[in-house]
Amino acid sequence: MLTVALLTKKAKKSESPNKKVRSDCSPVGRVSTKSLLIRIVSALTLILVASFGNLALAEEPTFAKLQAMCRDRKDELKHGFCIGFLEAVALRIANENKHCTLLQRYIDSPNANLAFSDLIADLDPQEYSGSALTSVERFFLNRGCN
Amino acid sequence: MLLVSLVASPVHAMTPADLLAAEKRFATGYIFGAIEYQIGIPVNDNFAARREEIRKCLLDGKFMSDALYVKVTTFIRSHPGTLPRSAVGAILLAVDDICPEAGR
Repeated sequence: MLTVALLTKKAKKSESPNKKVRSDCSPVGRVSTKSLLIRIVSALTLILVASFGNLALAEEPTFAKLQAMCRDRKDELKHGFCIGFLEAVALRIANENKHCTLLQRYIDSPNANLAFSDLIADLDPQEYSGSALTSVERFFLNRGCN
Repeated sequence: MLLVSLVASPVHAMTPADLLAAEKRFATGYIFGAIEYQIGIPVNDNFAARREEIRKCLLDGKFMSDALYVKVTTFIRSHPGTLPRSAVGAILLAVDDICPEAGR
């Protein structure tokens, strides 16, 4: 939006002060198609750049989406999301259940973050589907707790 | 207070210091993932009302991940007492600070 505003200002400045504008011309008519196109492309580019790598809080992810994030080691943002989500689930379950020895062992391991994401990445999506929250909780409770 | 036991948990998972030292995009995702889980828990416990209050505050505030990264890391740096805890615990304390309880 800022780019559009700047471009509009620049375009206005570059107009000759002696240039007569017909009063019956609409403002849109004074802007060439090429210039309008440049402004639209600039605005879209700006929106894309601003939204890239920036997430908005929304509905919780599905298990399939979370698993895809856990498998994507190239995208730090997605991989970070996966690990943050998994550690939050694991810590809560281990705190609320006293018999989660295996889960606690995973939490205490030096590479807990990578171990968690690998575990989820390898799960069969046929067995775990729907909500990420429910699926991951079920997995940790079934496999990590007695 | 909400999730005190979790905050105080002696864990070797990611720590707040790890979070501050991590690559920014990774840490941003981590913070976002931990918060996304916390606001999604459908548990009807003693903290359900507070959790809903936080959820509403975060969603109404339309926080983007970059903004949350700045708020959480700034909170951790200005509260060194959070450093020995878990990263998730420190994030929850930061969220508690971002969205104060009604009447507090």
